[in-house]
Amino acid sequence: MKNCVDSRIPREVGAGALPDHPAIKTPWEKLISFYDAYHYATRHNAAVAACFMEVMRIIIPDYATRCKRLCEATGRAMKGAFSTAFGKMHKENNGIHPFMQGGYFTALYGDSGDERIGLCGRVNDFGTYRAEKELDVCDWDILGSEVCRISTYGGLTSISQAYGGIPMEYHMPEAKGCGDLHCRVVAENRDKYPMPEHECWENFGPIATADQIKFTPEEKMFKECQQFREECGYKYRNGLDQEYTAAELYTSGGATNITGTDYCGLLLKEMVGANEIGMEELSNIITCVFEAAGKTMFAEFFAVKGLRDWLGVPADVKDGRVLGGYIEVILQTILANYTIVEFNKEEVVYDIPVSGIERRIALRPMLTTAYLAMWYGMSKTLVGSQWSLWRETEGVPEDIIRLKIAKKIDKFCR
Amino acid sequence: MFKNVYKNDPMKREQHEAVRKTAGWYYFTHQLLEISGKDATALLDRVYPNPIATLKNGGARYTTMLNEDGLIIDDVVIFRLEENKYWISTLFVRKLIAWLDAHKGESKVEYKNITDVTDMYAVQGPKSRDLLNAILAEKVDDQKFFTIRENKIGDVPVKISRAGFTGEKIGYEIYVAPEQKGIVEAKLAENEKAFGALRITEFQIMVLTLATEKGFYLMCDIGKTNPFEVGLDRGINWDKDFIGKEALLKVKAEGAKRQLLGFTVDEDDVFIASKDKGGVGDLVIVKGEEVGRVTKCTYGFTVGKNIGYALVESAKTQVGDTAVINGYTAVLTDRVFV
Repeated sequence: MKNCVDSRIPREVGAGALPDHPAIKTPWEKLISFYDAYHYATRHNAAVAACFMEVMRIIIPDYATRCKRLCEATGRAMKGAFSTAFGKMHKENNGIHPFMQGGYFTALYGDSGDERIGLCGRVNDFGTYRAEKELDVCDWDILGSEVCRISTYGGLTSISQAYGGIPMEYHMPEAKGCGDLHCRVVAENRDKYPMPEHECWENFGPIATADQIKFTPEEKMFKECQQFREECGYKYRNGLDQEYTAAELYTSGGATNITGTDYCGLLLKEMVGANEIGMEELSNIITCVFEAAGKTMFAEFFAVKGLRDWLGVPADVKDGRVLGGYIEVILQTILANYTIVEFNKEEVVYDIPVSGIERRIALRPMLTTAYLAMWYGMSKTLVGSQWSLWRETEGVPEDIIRLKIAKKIDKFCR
Repeated sequence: MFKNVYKNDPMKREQHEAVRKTAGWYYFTHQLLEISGKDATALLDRVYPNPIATLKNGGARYTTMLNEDGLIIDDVVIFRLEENKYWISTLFVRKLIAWLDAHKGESKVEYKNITDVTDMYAVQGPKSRDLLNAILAEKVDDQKFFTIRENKIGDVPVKISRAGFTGEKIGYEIYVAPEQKGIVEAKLAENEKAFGALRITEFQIMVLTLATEKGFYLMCDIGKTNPFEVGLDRGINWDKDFIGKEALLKVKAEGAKRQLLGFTVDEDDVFIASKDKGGVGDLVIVKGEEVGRVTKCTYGFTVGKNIGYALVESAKTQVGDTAVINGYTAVLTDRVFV
């Protein structure tokens, strides 16, 4: 190692990134605005989740079985988590009044969680026995309908069960993941609005109060969340007067959230624990899916050109630094710290804390496996087949991912 | 076209009308901060624009809380329990504690969040006094509005405050330790039938329909306004110093630029986005001009119409104006509907 870092900005990574600075910087001084980074973060996280859903489809090919198990696993985890002090903290963060008792206020969590990750829309009804939320934008609409079912049961019905009181059953009669114009979540109390019982994953409806749905036509749909809209003062504000700025939302989960990935990861962990699948086999499937995704991302010449333009890569830079620049922007965007060890035309080396990539202790090491495979795949198409990307472990602490991008001959490709 | 979520809902109508015609009772615990110490009165008088020092023991007072710009950041009811001991009823206790922390200076005061140890039930409506008299050790016939007294339900010590958020002339609140709330609930349930009373369970009735009909505010209506804009300047004590006074004096001299008006919409099946459901609310358009936004919108079962509030430009609006809100025709009104 030469410890050679070419002249570049930012030298001290992290200090120049959010939230201290209104923009992210590429190694070539190109600024990526806070606004763009926020949107980039949510779409990137959704894309990673989409790959994890493919992993899930390989492991559990049957749609109904997959959805049921994903809903159940997520539901158990959410109900457990929100039954603890974590649930109380969420109540306080959303300004839930002490007299609000029942499953309906989870709709407020849904609303704030949606806007936090760029899913803009509106609350159409908010009462003890019925609530309705309509979404206009969803970066996760590329995952497929499973994620809609899981977030409705695991993320809403199950959380509402954790709080007790008058219960609510959440349904999603429209979903962008299924091709609908909107996502629409309707929560109903079954004592007031009886409906036949159904499996937990069968939550696309029908609902009892379809005649109360308020449909927003396309021309009145939002394109941006409250925190990016001038009339909202660039703040998200829920119905109980809790306000958060875009910067607060970005740094408190907007950029780091792994919605979708966590749903899959929770079930995969359970399956590994129950010996339904071995960790080695799971890692192999994750690697195959993400490596293919990485290669595909830059397989077309215009994708390479687009990325170079976006990062501001000089024309004569045609080596591992291009991929390094891309990785740095991703890491800054998702608020993962890293240290530049090498950054020159022969090699690029970063030290990245595992926590920056994994983001959920319970899912380790699945995201590390996924990112290493995806970036390895990218090295082949973004830089060239002589190039590779791998993790070096010798002499490196376990909690650090030492990432190396350099030329490498590997007769076995793994 | 969709059904009006209020008008066609018999459960909501029944609960609303119980409070208006007989009595309704419901769990209505707010956040409660207990503040004590020899400087408590002085600190509260500096933090709140309405007078605190003049409050008698056992008395209660509504007041806004302002920031240095004279803008409302909370509204509370303060109970004076003893000479130097108060309860502050709020829905934003975290912000309140932070605000007091920032402004207490060297004051000799202590405050603690007692929300977890103090539950509250609202008993509201014309028959609420009779219902309470049936379960309390001491009758509340002579208890005046905005007073709080010790009492008992069986052996359970309670505090009874005469107040409420329904606009009813007769209405009470029962403060009780959480471990004994089951006894209070049982007693109310046991006696409700004799007075035609009903347990209220719908959030929209507790918070929106009853209060809006009578001109009561939520923070979505008055947050970040100044008291002159929303008609809350009347109780201010201008003879003392309080946070926001300087800015407010300027508003007083220049006049309020906005006003909080009511509105009605005759059409039944409307959807009007309002701040009570998050966001900033729909635009209010008068004579083709954007004049403000809707703060809340609900249905007035007693009024028999969709009703709401809108914060609008004073110079461009007056009661009686026709407005367009999300394509629906509305009429601007006073804030008190019944």
